[in-house]
Formats: sequence, structure tokens, C-alpha cells
Amino acid sequence: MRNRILQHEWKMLRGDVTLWIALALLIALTAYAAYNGAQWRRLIATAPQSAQTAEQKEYAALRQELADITSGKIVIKPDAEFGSPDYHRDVRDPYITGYYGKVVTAAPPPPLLGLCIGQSDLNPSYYLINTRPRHELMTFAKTAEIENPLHLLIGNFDLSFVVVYLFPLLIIALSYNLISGEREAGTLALALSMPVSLRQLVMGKLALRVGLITALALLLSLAAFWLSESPVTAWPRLALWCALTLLYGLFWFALSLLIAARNTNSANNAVALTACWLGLVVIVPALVTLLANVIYPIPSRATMVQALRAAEREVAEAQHQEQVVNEFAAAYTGKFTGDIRAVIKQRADVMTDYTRREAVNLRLAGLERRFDEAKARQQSFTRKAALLSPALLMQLLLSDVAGTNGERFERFAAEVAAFHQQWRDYFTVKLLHGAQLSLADLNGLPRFLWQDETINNLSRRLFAGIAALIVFTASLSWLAVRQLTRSSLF
Amino acid sequence: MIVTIARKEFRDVWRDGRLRWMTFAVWALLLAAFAAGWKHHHEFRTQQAEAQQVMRAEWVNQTEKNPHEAAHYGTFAFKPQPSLTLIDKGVDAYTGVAVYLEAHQQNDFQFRPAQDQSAAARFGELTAAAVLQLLVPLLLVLLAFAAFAGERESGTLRQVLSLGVSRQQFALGKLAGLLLTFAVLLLPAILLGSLALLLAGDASFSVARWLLLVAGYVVYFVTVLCLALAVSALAASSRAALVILIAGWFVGALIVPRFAADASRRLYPTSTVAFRQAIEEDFENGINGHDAANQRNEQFKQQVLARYEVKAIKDLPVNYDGLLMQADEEYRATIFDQRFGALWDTWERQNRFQMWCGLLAPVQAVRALSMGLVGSDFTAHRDFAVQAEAYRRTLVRALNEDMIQRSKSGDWDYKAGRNLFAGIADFSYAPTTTATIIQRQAGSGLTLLLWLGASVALLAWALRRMKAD
Repeated sequence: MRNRILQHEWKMLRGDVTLWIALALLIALTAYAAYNGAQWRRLIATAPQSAQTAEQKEYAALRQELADITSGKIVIKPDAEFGSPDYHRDVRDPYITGYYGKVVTAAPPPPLLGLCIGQSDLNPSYYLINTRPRHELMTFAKTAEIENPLHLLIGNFDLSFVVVYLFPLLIIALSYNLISGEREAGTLALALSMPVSLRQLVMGKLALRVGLITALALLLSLAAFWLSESPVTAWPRLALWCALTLLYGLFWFALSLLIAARNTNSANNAVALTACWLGLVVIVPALVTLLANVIYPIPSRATMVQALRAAEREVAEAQHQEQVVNEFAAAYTGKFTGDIRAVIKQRADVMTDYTRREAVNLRLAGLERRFDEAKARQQSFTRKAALLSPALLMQLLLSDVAGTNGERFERFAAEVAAFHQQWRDYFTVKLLHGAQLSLADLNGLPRFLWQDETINNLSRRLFAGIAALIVFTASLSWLAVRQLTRSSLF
Repeated sequence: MIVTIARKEFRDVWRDGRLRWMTFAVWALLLAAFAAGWKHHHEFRTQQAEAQQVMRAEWVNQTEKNPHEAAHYGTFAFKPQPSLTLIDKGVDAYTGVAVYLEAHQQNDFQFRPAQDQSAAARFGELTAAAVLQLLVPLLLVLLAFAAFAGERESGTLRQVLSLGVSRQQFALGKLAGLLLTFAVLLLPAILLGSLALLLAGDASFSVARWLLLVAGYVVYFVTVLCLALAVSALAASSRAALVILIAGWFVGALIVPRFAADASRRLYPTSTVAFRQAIEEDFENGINGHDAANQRNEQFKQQVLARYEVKAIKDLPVNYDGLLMQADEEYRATIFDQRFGALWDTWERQNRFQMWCGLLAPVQAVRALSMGLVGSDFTAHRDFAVQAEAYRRTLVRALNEDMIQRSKSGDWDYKAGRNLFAGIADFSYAPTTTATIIQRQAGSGLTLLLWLGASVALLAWALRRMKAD
């Protein structure tokens, strides 16, 4: 019997022009979204690539300079005035090379950037690192993509947009008249006069649609993965992406079924479903953002600038000099065994500025942490509030899977900060030792390595969200089935 | 007769529980958005104003230092927020709140608030503008979709028309009734908005801009209402009318803006890498490859020596380093004007293109108009950025002048004090005049008026074609 229902339904659906229009639209928009994603993927890779090329050139020149000094081709005259023809910087000095050299710390483009652009158009994809203090290099970084702010406001046309916004509408268009359509055509009574229960009939009709749509959605996800030039190694993430798409689709099918089971006419169902779509996809997410900003506001970064100035003033004041030196000494006691204070006195020409800048950094770190905490509070509120809207939840999950959510960029920044510490320590310890850099030193500089979150970790992190989607879908289905068994339908 | 129809329409809407409920929901959202906008604006303005004051104090009271060191120390300019932006934040979250003014560099604005927010913010925040541009039209569609189609389905259309009421009269009555209904919703909002803006007590508040803004939105709403009525008259059934209108809303509100943004990007491409490299290359190799940096410096040296009729730099009565740095500043200024100017012109071209896409979907035009009039569009940001950059140049020039006149070449130990720093006037932003701001919106205003004309014409045409049953 079930097969007969499926066969009949397929015949009916096949003849429906709107179905084919909707499917063609979905395919076209997916292709366009994937093409857009590929474009963005290429664009976002260019900035770090060009910075890396510049870095290689710069370090090649540094090595050459160092070789020339060692071979005596360049003679360093310590008394020569800065800017005069006699003057030549001494790149063997760890202070000079550490301060002027710039190393690029970049992560490869997020694995599924081509499917979900997310926050990648807002955050720097690389930082330039040297021995200057962290706040100068990162808080006030100048490496973000320069993009028309209006485009940032409007948002991107990527696959996540198609999935979150358009996919539910297709599902609604296919299933708003699941039962009412038959009733209005007068065929429902006829169908039920056969040995089939209403539940069986409805489930048969639904199963066909679910099968059709999910198969198509999965096929399109795979096609988009390929079209957007995503790395093949990201296939586990693609699998997660597909699973999420499937779940999200099932949620909207369950909602449609529930509305259909309420036993009102097609027009009412369509209006109710559209209202649900509007509420869950447009209004609730906007309200959540509004509430997040009202309940957990993030203070203006203007305070950051004020703190910077206050710290700069403080560390330059005579009465704080001892403290500045102490702070610096405390930071390097484990890393340098000699007498730090003596070295600082000895190389006062560079160390005064060096220690002061570090002290500014220390003073800003507290405020920076407060900003991070404010951000974390807002994010955790948003994550919880996302349970009010599967669309919002889905968007967050998709950007998690794609690796384009804010958290990934924060982790990137944190790892760059750790690398910066390592880089700074490398040169500082050499500086404290009074050592001169050799070619071997320049060749053996620390390297920044980026490891994307493992799939296990990611799945564990997404577990709560996925569970929520399953719970939503299951409870809606349960309600719908209960309604179906109870209602008389005539 | 028109009055009777209008009165009946008005009563019908208020009797319909669902419509009443939706109207109140939109009202509540508008109120919430407005309150949040007010709170945010208030806090932000206080923070920015305080920061600007503190920054001035830090600048004036900085320790004695060489003028060039002071130029590197620099200062910051904080972008003020006009009070009208509490209705429409525009692109403010994506432009950055402050710019660092220092020697040698024209910097980008820093600290874009959106960077501190979670990905959820990309769904769009609920601002009063979002409610007015996206949700109110939907409400209007729900009020109007059954106006004719519904009457036809219940058989009352033929009845009414047989009473000798002309189609135009009938439509006018419907329109008036719906407008009246809508006015009950909108008028308190306008009054509340006016009151809040007056209370905000912002010197830059302009009544003309506020009134134009209200007028712009009213034109937009009437357009939507006329379109909805026209579709209701033409559609086979009220259900078909609703589907067409909601599909239209969806395409206009969600699809067109993204397509328009993409298209404008393809038509007028920009590149971060090319932009940064171009500035560097212009400086190293000279603009258009003429006068590389070292050549420039040598030429300048000969000029200066000739001007002061001396043989060597050490014989100059002024500080050569200062002169050279000032010349360099001026050379860079030309580069910045050219490169930033070109980038910003491209963005404005992109934005204008998107505004003209308003011919496809009026929401594009009303968005441009709204952001433009409240002063939260990119052009407003550019106005501020240009003034901040002009101030940076004045500041650095004053510091270089001091160094040139009061110290000798190579004397980096010379220190200037409070006298010099306090003597340089503080940055004060001169807001763009109302006339200019209004002029800039000629295109978007015209587009909206075109839509109004087109929608009225469409309604008139639809009425003639409308089937009575």
C-alpha cells in the first residue's frame, strides 16, 4: 500500500509546475552561492599570500645584509649618525632585527569558507608579528580586509544563506497543503475509503517529499563543496554540514506537518507557515541580537584608546621606572638566568623603550581581558537564545562547521598571541645575553603553525546544538502525529 | 461615499483579531527597537565624547618631547553619532569608531563594533529602520491583500459596484481606510520619535532632515499599499494575491540587496592588496613611477640649499630634517588623496549602483535615503574621515614647523612642551550641512517618487481591469 501511495504522489508532484520552478530556483541559487564562495575564498587568500611574499623578500634581504656584514662588505660604524651615508643598521643586533623584521602569521582559509563566509569578511586573516608589544601588533592591527561597509551590512550570498533562509521556504511550498490540498480537491475521502489510515496516507506523502528534498539538498551540498573549491580533506566537515542540513530540513517538515494536521484550509496553512518562517528566520534572530546588545552591551572600544594613553603616560613617569623594570624582570626571570637589571642599565639606549612598551602591554592586557569577557558573555547569551530560533541556531552551527565563526578567529588571535610571545622571547633572550644573530639564527626562527580544530572536538562542541535540533524536530513530529491520530478531518 | 467605505475598512481591520494582534506586534517591535536604539546611542555618545576630551587632555599634557616624537605619539579622532542614527544605525557597526592620527600615515578607522559581536548580528539587528523597511510593508500586505480579491470571493464586490460606486471611488475609499488604520499606528511613532530626538538635544539635529525622513517612509508605505491593492485587484484569488505579494516582499527584502551588492562589486571591483601595495609603491618609486624616494630627497636637498644660498646642510638656519619630513608629508598627502580617494569613489559608485537597484525593489531606495538622511551611510563616514585626515595634516605640519624653526638639523634632543601642544587647536568636526545631505539624496528620493507614481498608475490600471466576479 505504501508503495502505491508513493507512486501516486510522485505522479501528482511530477505534474506540478511550481515544484519544478522551485527546484530550478534552488539549483540556480546554490550554484550562484557556491560560485560566490569560491570567489571569496580566492580573494581572502590573496592578502596573506602577498604578505608572505613580501616577508620572504624581506628576510632574504636581511640574510644578505647579515652575510655582507659578516664578510666585511658592509662596515658598521658605531659612531655614524642615523641617516648619514656612513650609517648602517646592524642586523646582527637582536633588537634591530626583532624590531624591524615582520613575520606573517596566517591560517589557511577556513575549511568550508566557500560554503559559509560567516565572519571571515570582518576579521584579519593574518597578522604581522615582530618584537613590538602585542597590543601594537594585534589590538591595533592594520591587516583586516578593506571592504565596502555597505556590503558587510547587507551580508553575503553564500550556501548558508540559501540553506537557512530559502530551503525552509521550498519545504513550506511543497508541504503546506499536505492534507488540505486533498480535502479541497475532494480526493481525501476517496483515498481514505481504501484500506489505509490517515496517518499512513500522510506519512506516505510526507516521506516522498522528505526523500526528494533531502536527496536534492545533499546532492547540492556536494556540488557546492566541489564548485566552491573546498579542500578535499575537509570532507568530515562536509559530512557534518550535510547532517545539519538534513536535520534542519526535517525540522521544517515537522513544523509543516504540525500545521497541516491542524486541519484548516490551505490558505490558512500557508499564512501560518509563512508567519512561522518570518518569526523564526527574521524576527527572533534580530530580537536576540537586540537583547544581547541591551543585556550584555560591549563598551565602545574608545575606552581601549583611553587606557592606552593612560598607560603610556604612566610608564613614562619617573616614579614608575622601578616598577616597569621589575615587571620586565619578573616576566623574564625563568627565561634568562643572568642579571636582567644590569643588562637593562647597560643597554639603556634600547631597553628603556623596550621595557616601557612591554609595561603598556601589561596594563592593557587587563582591559583586553574585560573586552574578551564581555564578548564571551554576549556570545554565550546568543548561543542560549539561539534555542529560540532553529534558523539562528543553524546559522551558528554552520559557521562552526565551516570554521568561519567568531570563535575560530578568536582562537586564531590567541594562538598568534602565543606565537608572538615565543617570537619576542627568542629575540629578547638573545638581546639580554648580548648575543649577535648569526645566519643560522635567522634560518632557525620559530614558525607559526596552525591546526584547525579536530573533527572530534568540533562534533563534541556542536553536540548540544545538534541535540536541540533533534529535540525540536522530534517534539514537533510527536505533536503532529498525535494530532493526526486524533482528528476526524471532516 | 468614499468616507463610508474608508470608515468600514477601518472598522473591519480593527475587528479582525489577527490583524489587530499583528499591528500591535509590529508596534511593540518598533518600540523595542527604538528604546534599544536610544539606549545604545546615549551610551555611545557619552563614551565617544568622554574619549575625545580625555584624548585632548593627554595630548596637551604629554611629557616634553621632540615634535616629531609627538607626531608619532599622535592623537585619535572619535566619530560622533548624530542623534538621528538612533533610528537607523546604517553602516556604523562596520566602519570603526576611531582613527589614529599620526605622522606619515593616513590610517583606516579602527574598532568596528561588528567585530566584537557574534555571527548572530549578521542576521541584522532589530533597529527602527529595519522594522520600518522590512516588517511594516509586510503588515501593509496583510492589511491589503484581500481588499478586492476578498470582496470578490465573498460576492460583495459586484454588490458594491452595482450601487453606483465607481471603481476609483471604491479604491480611494479602501486606500483612505487603510491609510487611516495605518496612521493610527504610525502617528504615535512619529510623535514619539520627534519627542525623543528633541530630548536627545543634539546640535546637529535638523528638523528638515527629520521631516524628509518621515516623508520618505510615508511615500514608501503608500507605494507598498498601492502595489498590494493593485495585486489584490488583478489576482485570481486572495490566496494568489497573498502569495504574489509575499514572494515580492521576499525577493525585494532578501534577494535583491545581496544580488545588488554582488553585482556592484563585480562592476566596480576593489582590492585590499592592490590598494596597500599601490600606496607603498607610489611612495617608493614615486607617483606614476616618477621621482623615486631617494631621487626626490636629493632634489629637495638641492632646492633647499639653493633657497637658503648655503653649501651644506649644517649651514642651514633651519632644521633640514623637519623640512624634509614636511615635504615628505606633503608628497604622501598627494598619494593618500589619490589612493583613498579612488577607493572611496569606487565604494560610492558601488553604493550608488545599489541605490539605483531601488528601481527593482523600493527597499533599496528607502534604505539609501534613510541612512543618508540620518547620517549613518558611508558618505557620512567619509565626510568625517576627510576632516580627520585634514586635521592630521595640520597637526603634523604644526609640529614639523616648530622643529624647523626652533631646532637645528640633526638635533633630535630638542624638546617642545605644553606651549606647542596646547597651541595646536583641538579637532572639531564640522557636520555636513543639511542642504548637502538633502541634495545627495536626490537620486533615492526620485526613485521613491517614481515608485509612488508607478504604483498609483498600476493601481489605476488594475482597477479598470479588475473583474467584478
